[in-house]
Parts: sequence; C-alpha cells; structure tokens
Amino acid sequence: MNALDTLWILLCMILVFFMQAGFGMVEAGLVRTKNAGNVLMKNLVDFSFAILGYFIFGYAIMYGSDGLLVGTTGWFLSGMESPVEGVPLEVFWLFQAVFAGTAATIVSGAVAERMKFTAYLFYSFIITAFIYPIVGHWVWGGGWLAKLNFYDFAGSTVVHALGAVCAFIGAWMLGPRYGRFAKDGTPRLIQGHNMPLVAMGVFILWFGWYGFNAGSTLSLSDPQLVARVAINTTLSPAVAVLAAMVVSWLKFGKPDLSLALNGALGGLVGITASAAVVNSGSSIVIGLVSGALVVFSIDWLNKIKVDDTVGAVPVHGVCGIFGTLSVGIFGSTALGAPLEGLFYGGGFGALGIQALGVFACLGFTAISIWIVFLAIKSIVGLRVSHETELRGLDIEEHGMESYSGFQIFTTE
Amino acid sequence: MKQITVYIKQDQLPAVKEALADAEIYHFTVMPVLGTASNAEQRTFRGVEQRVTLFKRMRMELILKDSSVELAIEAISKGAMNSGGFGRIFVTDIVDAVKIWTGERGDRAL
Repeated sequence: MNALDTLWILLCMILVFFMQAGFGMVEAGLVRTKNAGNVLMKNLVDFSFAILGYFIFGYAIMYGSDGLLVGTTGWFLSGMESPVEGVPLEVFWLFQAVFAGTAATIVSGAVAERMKFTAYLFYSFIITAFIYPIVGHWVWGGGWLAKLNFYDFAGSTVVHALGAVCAFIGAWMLGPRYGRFAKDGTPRLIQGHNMPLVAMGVFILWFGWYGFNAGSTLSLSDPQLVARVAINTTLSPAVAVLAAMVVSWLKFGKPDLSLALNGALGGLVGITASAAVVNSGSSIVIGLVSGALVVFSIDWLNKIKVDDTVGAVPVHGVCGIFGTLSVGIFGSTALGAPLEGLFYGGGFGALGIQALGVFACLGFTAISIWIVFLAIKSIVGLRVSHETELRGLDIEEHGMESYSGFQIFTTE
Repeated sequence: MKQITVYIKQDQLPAVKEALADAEIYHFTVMPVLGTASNAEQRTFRGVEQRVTLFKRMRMELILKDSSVELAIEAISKGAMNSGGFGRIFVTDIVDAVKIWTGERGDRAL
C-alpha cells in the first residue's frame, strides 16, 4: 500500500465532500427566504442518495468489467479491486462517490423554488445510480469514448455538464417560477435573499475544487503534475471573475456581485477538463472565455424563457462544454494529453473527438433524464401547486420556516 | 382626502401592486405585519406539534383625493381577487396633509 497516495486521495475526497456545503450555501442564498430550507433539504438528501445509489449500482456500472457501454460487475463493491495501485478500493470509491454527489446536486439549484420534493427524491437516486455512472464508464471506466482518446480530466462534461443538462431539462419542463417573466415575456428579477451566503458558498466551492481537480491526479508521485493542476485551478477562476465582472459592468452599467461569483464557478468548471494538460497561459484564456460565457448565457436563458434559479446551466453547462472542447484546442501531448490540440499543430482531430464526446455524453443524458422526468411527472408530478409556490416550499412541504422569528421584508 | 388601509397576504402584494399601477396609482406605503386568522394552522417541528395563530400579512396605506378612492378600491380588489381573493380594505377620513418641502396643504400636498 502507498500511504502517501492514499492520504492524498482521502484528503482530496474530504475537500470535494465539502463542496456540498458550498452548493448548499450558494443555492440557499440565491432563493427567497420562503424556500431556503427546502433547497437545503434537497442538497442534503441528493448527496445521501448519491452515496447509496453509487454504492449499490453506480460504481459497478462505472468501473465494473471493461464493457464498451456499461460495466456489469461489482455490485455493492463486491469482488472489485482498486484501479489505482497502492490505494485501497474504499478510498478510491469514496473519491468517486463524492463526484457522483456533485453531479446530482447541480440540479437542485436550477429547479429550486418550484420542484416537488418527492419528484426530486426519485430524480436524485436515478441520476447517481444510473445516468452518471453510464457516462462515467464511457469516459473514465474504459468505455468507448476513452478508447477514442476523448479526454475529460476531472469532469467538465462527465460531472458538470451532465448535471447542467439535467438541470436545463428540469427547469425547461417545470416552466419558470411564478412572476419570473411578465405577461409580455420580459424577464423580471426574483432576487436571492442572502448574498453573503452565496459568496461564502462560492469560496467554499473554490476551496473544494482543489480537491476536485488536484485530487484527480490520483497520485502524488508526479509533484509537477499536481502543481500544474493546482495553479491552473487558481488562474482560471481568478481571470473568470474579472471577465464576468467586466462584461457585466459593460452590459449593465455596474459590476454585479452575483455574476462575478457565478463567473468564478464558470472558470473552475471551464478548467476542470484540461487542468492537467494545458499550461498557465492557456488556463488564463480558458478562464477569460468562461467568465464571459457565464454572463452571456444567463442572458440567453432569459431570452428562451428557461428559469434557472441559480445559474447552474451557464456555470456548469456552457462552461463545462467549453472546457471540454478547450482540451482539443489548448491540450498538449507534452503535458499528457492523448492527442495534440489545435494550437499545438494537432489540427482539428482532437477538437472533433472532444466535440463528439460532449455530444454523445450530453445527448444520452438529455434523452434519459427527459424520460425520467416524464415518468416522475406521471407518477407523482414535477411541480408544486400554485398556492404552495406562493406560500413557499418551506412551510408547505416541510412545515417549518427557515427564518422563524425574523421579520422578513419582501420587495416583490 | 381619505386613507385606504389594506390587509392582504404577503404573496398577494405583486398582483395588487400591478393592478394599482394599471390604474395609475403609484404612491403608497407597504408594511409587513403579523395578523391572526380565523383558523389556526397545525405545524410539526422536530416531531412536536405547534399551533400557529399569527400569519404574515401585508398592510398597505394609500392617502388619496376623494375622487380617486373608488378607482383605488376597484384596483385593489381586482388585484387581490386575482391572487386568491383574501383581504380587507378600510377607508378613513384624513383631516389635512402637508408637503414639507413646499408647505402645500390638503389635496395639493399629495
């Protein structure tokens, strides 16, 4: 056994676990007081379902015997061996399980303030037990995309864009929150209730992302690789914050805090696919584009009238897709990429493979989650009643207030 | 001059505000208040039952010329009916008003 590698993966797993707190705080802060408890409950429960579903089915589908489409051995982890030499299976599983939890929890923010709690329970089990592991198997478990040299280092597509596609389909099927768009279609502001919580959540996510990316090296044996991942994971979000800030400043006249915070997450998602195989200069460019993309795609969602409460689709979806494609642009075989990127004279080959991978993963995710949501809709219904939505999901679904004893002033 | 005092549920405010804007009435004050209801609600918190008797309400105050009062009542009722139909409207007389900046009195001060 390799004690140092084991410690490294376990430490990074703990950091990734803490990202759950980050998601929870971002989402709680960006909803109204009347729904804060409900969205936190969803965050807590989807993680717990992720752990259970990933233990029973997920790991076997993702890392079970080398089928091209799905793995079929190792239910309940039985009879499996650790794919990382010198690291116990349990530690490797824990590291993978917190990733599954991350994919699941992305959705709760986009469908916040209107999705039924029971509907969310069904969804969160299915995504972590089946949808995420299948895509994960294609890319990381020795499936067909891995064989084609598709490269997604820590999961811009496998984790983030996958979660965002589910978020997009969910938000689109639910329809916008009451009052989010005027009768003539102009978007209206429904302001989150606690920006300090959102800011704390984003800092926690950034903090946890060092585990998410640097831990995905799965080893400390190459310190230079870990160092490159860590510095890229710092440069990209920093530049993305500045990009989102400047774009929002130019577009809306003021530097917008919530967009700058979304920008940080966009930069983190954007660098996740390529952190190991690009140099610092490329990570700055990736951050710059990611930060700007966040602001523009929030505008785009307003135009097509999909109500994404916390900006999960711009952050995890748009930046996730861009981040995965950027491997085919900035990736360098000298740094460990399987194919030479466009800017390193590799032509469009790598970019084409990356595009194919994104299309296949997200296409499969979109169709399967659409069927899942349709099934849930016909069994328990997706959306709460109009009265429940007006009064808030905290009181109606959970019988409690998040801010009992506070006089909450609404400015709606 | 009359004062119109309105009690509605918190979530009715957007609809009432919109109806007032349609009637071109823009000046009013809104206060969040707590009010009793005829039937209490049972809530369970950590397994313990609790009777809730105070509910979040909105109190709106509008001071209007006599001639605008009916228009305002109509608009408020319309907005409140569109959002559940809950609420009360009270009308009281106002003796005088002063606009501090100009010293104008009565209707001119509104």
